[in-house]
Amino acid sequence: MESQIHSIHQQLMNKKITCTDLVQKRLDVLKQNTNNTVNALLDTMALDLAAKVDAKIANGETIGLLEGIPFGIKDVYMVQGTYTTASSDLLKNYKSAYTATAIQKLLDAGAIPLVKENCDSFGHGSSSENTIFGAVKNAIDPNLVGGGSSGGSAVNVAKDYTVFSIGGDTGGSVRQPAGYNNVYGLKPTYGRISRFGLMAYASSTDCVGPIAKSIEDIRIVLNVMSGKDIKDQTTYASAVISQDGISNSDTIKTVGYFKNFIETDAIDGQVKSDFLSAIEKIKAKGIEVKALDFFKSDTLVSTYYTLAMAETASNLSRLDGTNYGNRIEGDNLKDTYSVTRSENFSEESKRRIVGGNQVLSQGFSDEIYLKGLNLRDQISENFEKDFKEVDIILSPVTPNTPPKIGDSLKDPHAMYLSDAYTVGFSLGQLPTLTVPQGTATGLQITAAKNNDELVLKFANFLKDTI
Amino acid sequence: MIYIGSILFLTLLAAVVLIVKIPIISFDAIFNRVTTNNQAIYFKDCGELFEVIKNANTSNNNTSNNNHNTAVSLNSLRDDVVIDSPQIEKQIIIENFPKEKNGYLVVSKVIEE
Repeated sequence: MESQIHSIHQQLMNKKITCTDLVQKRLDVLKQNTNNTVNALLDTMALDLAAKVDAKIANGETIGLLEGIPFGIKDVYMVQGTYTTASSDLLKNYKSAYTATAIQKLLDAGAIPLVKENCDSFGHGSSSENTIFGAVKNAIDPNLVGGGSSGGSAVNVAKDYTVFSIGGDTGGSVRQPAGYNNVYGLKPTYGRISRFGLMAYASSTDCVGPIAKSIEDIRIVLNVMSGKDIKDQTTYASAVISQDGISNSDTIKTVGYFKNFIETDAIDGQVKSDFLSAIEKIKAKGIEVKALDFFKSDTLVSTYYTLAMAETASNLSRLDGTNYGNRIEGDNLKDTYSVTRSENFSEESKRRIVGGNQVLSQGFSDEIYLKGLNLRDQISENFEKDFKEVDIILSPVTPNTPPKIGDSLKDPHAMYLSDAYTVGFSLGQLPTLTVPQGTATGLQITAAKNNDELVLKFANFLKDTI
Repeated sequence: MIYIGSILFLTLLAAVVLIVKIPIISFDAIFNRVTTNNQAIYFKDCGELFEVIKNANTSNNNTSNNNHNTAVSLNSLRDDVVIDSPQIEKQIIIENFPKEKNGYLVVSKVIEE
């Protein structure tokens, strides 16, 4: 069973490496990296924690599986005392006063945070170019985008700078960069992991998601972060997913895929033929494959962006430079709000805030926002119906391969459409995993709500099948 | 009922927002100008992004959030008690003040119009 976490744990326990050495080497490569993945290094904290792990081992104490394992954090999570910039001018000097629940759980398990990772500002983007820290460069081809919004996190994992990273997925922001950089990225069921301390983008679809190089590492990190949290009332208690529980895929009898994702001119020819070839390999294993009907891609994208923009306009309204943030003084309070927000938000963030305020405004809310909510309900009902017919839904992660750096910024509409295959599952609040197999940007495995275990189980099956 | 509620809510919201003088960004239409008392920041180009959703075929006209079933049960609400923040948290919050004087947050002059 492939797992960097298990492998490093063994090496630490057997004293083949020291934790300090491990952490220092990773910090060095992060510091030197030219992919623009780093917003801030947490070197002092990381080396202090590593020294404590080494002391425990030297004293003959047993360490936990995650103890001493270096990881990265997308720069939208609060970690007390560290800068949390959301890759924005507005928060470039903002210090977290507290720590996000998901990150605290990892710290409690002994994992060592190395880096706050570059991303699209406030999660607004699909390429990690909308950032004040420079566009994240793809791990495989640095001329291409790293994907987004959790681009820095995916690239760090792909380049082995971190063992795993914690991204955030609102409409595909973990799954798409995972696909662009050929690593695993999970968007768990909404509510499985607490959002407390994750800077809110669209609260009804925001999910904490791990990125790693193996299914086993995703499982380990998912288990640690999951659980009910009184500070996030949308969380629920979930059962631990065991290693044995995902090793056998006998229960998976039927797989579905959406016809309109594949039978469209928008999909790259190679991605399409690779996807269909993967389907044939699954069929050859005796699994029944069903073609399913679904909403048109443009309806999904429009519904998602309508709701996400409305929510982000509301969530970001508090960022006015009064209590924190880069305040720019105007003639009076109103002017100060106006100048602070105009000067500090990026073009893409402003586009989304203006769009969100539009759909919520009188005369538009009924026709657009409430209709969006209605469509979302229909999308969820459609998924419920589908999962009575199939165990798993398989889809490409993106219709195309990663664009060149600079191209997405020129055409925001094309960027929104690149999310066509990921946003539907976000609206359905379903567990979805990107696996680096099948097409150039991977495959998405989706199961019914709360069935994250089945997703990992099928990923193990695919690993041996494709 | 929901329709009326939404209109009332938005009108009240606009009124409250105007009273406390928070800036509003609004689509440039007569009713928006009336609702916002001509005091918002207006824009004209709405783009094509939302056209698709406006034209989408919705068979179900019930706009209630029947899928949004993540509301917490009354039994799971956290205790309604004041929890004092640790000193480090308070200290960082003060550090984040854009302008600070003797431990107090300094804000711009209150709007006078």
